[in-house]
Amino acid sequence: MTKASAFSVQAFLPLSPQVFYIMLALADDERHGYAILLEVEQVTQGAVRLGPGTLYGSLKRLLHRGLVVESDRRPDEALDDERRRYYRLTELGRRVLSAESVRLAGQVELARRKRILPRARPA
Amino acid sequence: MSPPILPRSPAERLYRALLRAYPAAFRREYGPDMLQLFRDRHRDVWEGRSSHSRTALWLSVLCDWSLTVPREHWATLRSRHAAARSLESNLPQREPESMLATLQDLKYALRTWRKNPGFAFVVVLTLAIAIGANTAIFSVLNAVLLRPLPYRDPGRLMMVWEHKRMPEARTNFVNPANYLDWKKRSRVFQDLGIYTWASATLIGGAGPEEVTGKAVSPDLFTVLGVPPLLGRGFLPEESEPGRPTVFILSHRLWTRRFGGDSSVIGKVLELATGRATVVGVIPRDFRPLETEEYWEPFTFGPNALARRGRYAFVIGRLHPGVSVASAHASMVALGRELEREYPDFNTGWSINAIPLTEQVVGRARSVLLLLSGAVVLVFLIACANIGNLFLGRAIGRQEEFSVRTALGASALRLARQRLVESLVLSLVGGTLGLSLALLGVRALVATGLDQIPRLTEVRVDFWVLGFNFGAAIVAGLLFAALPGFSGIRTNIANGLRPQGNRSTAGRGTHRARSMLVVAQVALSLILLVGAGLMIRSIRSLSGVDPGFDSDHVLTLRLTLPSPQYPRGPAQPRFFDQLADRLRALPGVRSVGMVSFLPLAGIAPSTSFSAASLPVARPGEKPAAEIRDVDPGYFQTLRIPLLRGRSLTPEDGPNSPGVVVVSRTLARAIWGMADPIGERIQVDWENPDSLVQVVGVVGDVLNGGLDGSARAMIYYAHRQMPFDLMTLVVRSKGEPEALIGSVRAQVAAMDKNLPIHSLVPMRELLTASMSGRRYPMFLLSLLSTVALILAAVGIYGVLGYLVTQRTKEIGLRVALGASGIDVLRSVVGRGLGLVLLGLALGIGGALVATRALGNLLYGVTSADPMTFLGVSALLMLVAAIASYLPARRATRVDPMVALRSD
Repeated sequence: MTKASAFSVQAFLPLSPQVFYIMLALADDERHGYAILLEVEQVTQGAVRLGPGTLYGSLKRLLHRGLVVESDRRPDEALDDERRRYYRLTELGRRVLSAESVRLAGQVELARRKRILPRARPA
Repeated sequence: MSPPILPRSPAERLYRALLRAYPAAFRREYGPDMLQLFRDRHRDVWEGRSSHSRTALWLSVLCDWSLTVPREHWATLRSRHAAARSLESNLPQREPESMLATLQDLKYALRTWRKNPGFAFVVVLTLAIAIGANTAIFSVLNAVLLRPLPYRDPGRLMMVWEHKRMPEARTNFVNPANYLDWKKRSRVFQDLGIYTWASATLIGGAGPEEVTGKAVSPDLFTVLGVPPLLGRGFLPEESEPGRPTVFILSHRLWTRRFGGDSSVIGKVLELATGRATVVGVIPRDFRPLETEEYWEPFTFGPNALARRGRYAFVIGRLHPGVSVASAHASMVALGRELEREYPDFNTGWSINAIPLTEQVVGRARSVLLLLSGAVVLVFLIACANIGNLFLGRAIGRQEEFSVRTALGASALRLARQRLVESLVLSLVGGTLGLSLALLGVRALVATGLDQIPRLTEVRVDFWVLGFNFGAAIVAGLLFAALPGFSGIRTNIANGLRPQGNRSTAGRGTHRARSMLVVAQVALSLILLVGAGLMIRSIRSLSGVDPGFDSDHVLTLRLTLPSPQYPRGPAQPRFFDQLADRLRALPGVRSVGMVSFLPLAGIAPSTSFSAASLPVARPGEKPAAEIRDVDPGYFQTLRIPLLRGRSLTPEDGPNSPGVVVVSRTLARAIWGMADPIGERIQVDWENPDSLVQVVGVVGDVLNGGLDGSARAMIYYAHRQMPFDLMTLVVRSKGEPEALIGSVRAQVAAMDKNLPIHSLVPMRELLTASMSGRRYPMFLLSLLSTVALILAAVGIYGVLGYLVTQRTKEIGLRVALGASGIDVLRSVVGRGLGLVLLGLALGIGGALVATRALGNLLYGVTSADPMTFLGVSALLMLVAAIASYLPARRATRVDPMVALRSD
């Protein structure tokens, strides 16, 4: 496996929208596959719906590039009796996600300056 | 990861099968997780926690699948490639593994199609249309004919009818007292349940609403094997007369009117006729007997227990192991017993038991099989077209294959490559076809709901997917094998020769391609004749005089609830007042009313006897349909008065009983004699009193335009009050314009009274033909597709022929042949093929159109006009399709043609 840290963060950009949302879903917590899918659906209000093949294909590539790792943490047995794999962002993954967000924000800023977007809303 | 021990649903099995398409390594690593994910999602959709519908779920899963499978294979391939390259390059070259070789074929195939996008596009599109049409019809066929009814062990359920011998009525309604005897004495049925129509007007809450229901015996739900979702079923004592009314709600009514609130159990509903307590809710997947939304207990009161009148349906569950035939025979024997015991009522009556599935599917079977036949023909035509394209292509590629053979490619390898190439196209076509099918199914369901039973149960399941991709794979294999069958051999010497010196591309190929055109024309002719015959049937049916004038007539049906409008003069009084109000509306010409409109389906009928004639033996009495009408009815529907007088407002409760009869009845009973003044005794409300015939009116086709006129007895509505009436309003302008003001007048008289239906008479007339319109529409659509495909096929073959013969044509022109000569030669060749196709097609159509059977009306299945017209149409299309390449041939410049190569 290629050592991820050898690359500049920029080499990973741009991320595809699906990958961006998957990483975003992992930003605040470790999640298993279906939880990622539900989280993405919820934050995008159903606009992005991932299929099993897309999700696991993307996770495979994220793992391969060292942006995501399988987590050792197991939640409470009572909460989750089925043996599922949990994923979390690596430090590199977090940096890539952040760089991608900055890149997107830059694009939005550009649109704002051209008055395509009406006005900055307080975050 | 071990999968949890769960019963595997068909959906899960299907998804497992889909997973197999992923590369093995990926599947090993992520397969269980993906399956788990699918299971979660499926469960959430199933339990209603997700906004997805089941169709949407499958669509998204299939979409995801078709996108990610190639992607993962590609990724695997690339990483292997990279790995191979990083190895020492001086290792001895090994024959690639068969799997890798197939992947190479795949890559090669994809590259080939990328270079020939036009060819690939035409093939994929044609296949998608053909496969899509087949899958759509198959999914309907699957739901309606193949999938068992959603009751417990449905194979043991039978519909049991009384069977009248003279005149023959094989499926007559059942008398409840007879039913109780069946239940007591039958040894073949575990149990039998009875039901009949019911309706209720819900008031309060969301406003008045009339809902249709069924009055069912408490054992009916047990017979069907349906446990309630909430609450309980009916108790045996609830069928006794004088009990408080209890209701069981359908899932739909429960969610629609009560918001799916489980506290509805025990709730007392306000009805226009009183009150009813809700005791249960039936699960959503229960298939209603018709379209009912609630159930109430069937009451075995004195009326029901008397052997008088037949008006109920009976469903029975057979003991395990009892065959349909022995059940039927046993019931016929029981019928004979009852005939002996109750000769007054049962003479001439037997029993007829029919499997419930057959009963439900009924006539739709023939329509669906017919449509299946039609889509299979379209599929064959499409395959012939694509086969043609592939043959043409195989000839063009002889050089490529010769080179590869010369360089050492084995015949097997070349065959495999051809197979992969055609499978790639056919599977893409199949996938696209599946999406088309999903759209098509939606359209079929939307347009055919009242023609075909069980349409709401149509789903895309394992079998439908299997059918779809099975068809795609068969098509792919066929196209791959075709060049081999038609005598294209890879001949190195011949293939490597320069184009011009190559011996002709094989007579065999030409013959094969020509035969495909002949087949296409023949198959198209069969489809077109079918569609033509249906169109002619509808046209002759539209020309039938129904016996009344349906133009500019608006109809509205009302049922009066009994507490406010008790049986008696209050009912006609209300209807008369409403009629007066409607008459006063601007734009209204006249108003009348009748208990059951013509063409409205079932209507009461009974036996009668003429006082002046000898009494008929039991079971041989003549029968007539009974209608309640007001004096304005005949005039409003323009039913002609032939003799005597019409009914008048003076024919009231205190004047002598009078009736008007139809011409058919008068002819049948009194022949040429004058029936006016004759007295008849009718087995209806007051069987002991005689009524006098005062008039004869024209016949009306009550049972449908393709039926015959029936004997009719019209009562004056004031002498025979009835709570259900349909008002007919003849308008000066368009009848739809009156809808608003008619509604307002009904509400002004009683704001709680629901209007059951408010439609122009014309629509009812059109709807009565819908059983034929639906197959006609679909057949026309399919035959249009067939015609286009055939035209494209002819064009393609002749176009290729012209290209092949460019040199020859150039030579002929150089030697003095005129443009007309060339044109005649090419068009003649095309029309020759078409004529052969027509001859074969006419033979086929003569046999195939018999399948249309009783869908035809006023036209025979061998109608010469239709056959001639369709043949002429095909000839015309073929002439155009051959003219275009022929014209190209006339423009051949001899100098250019002779110099080429």
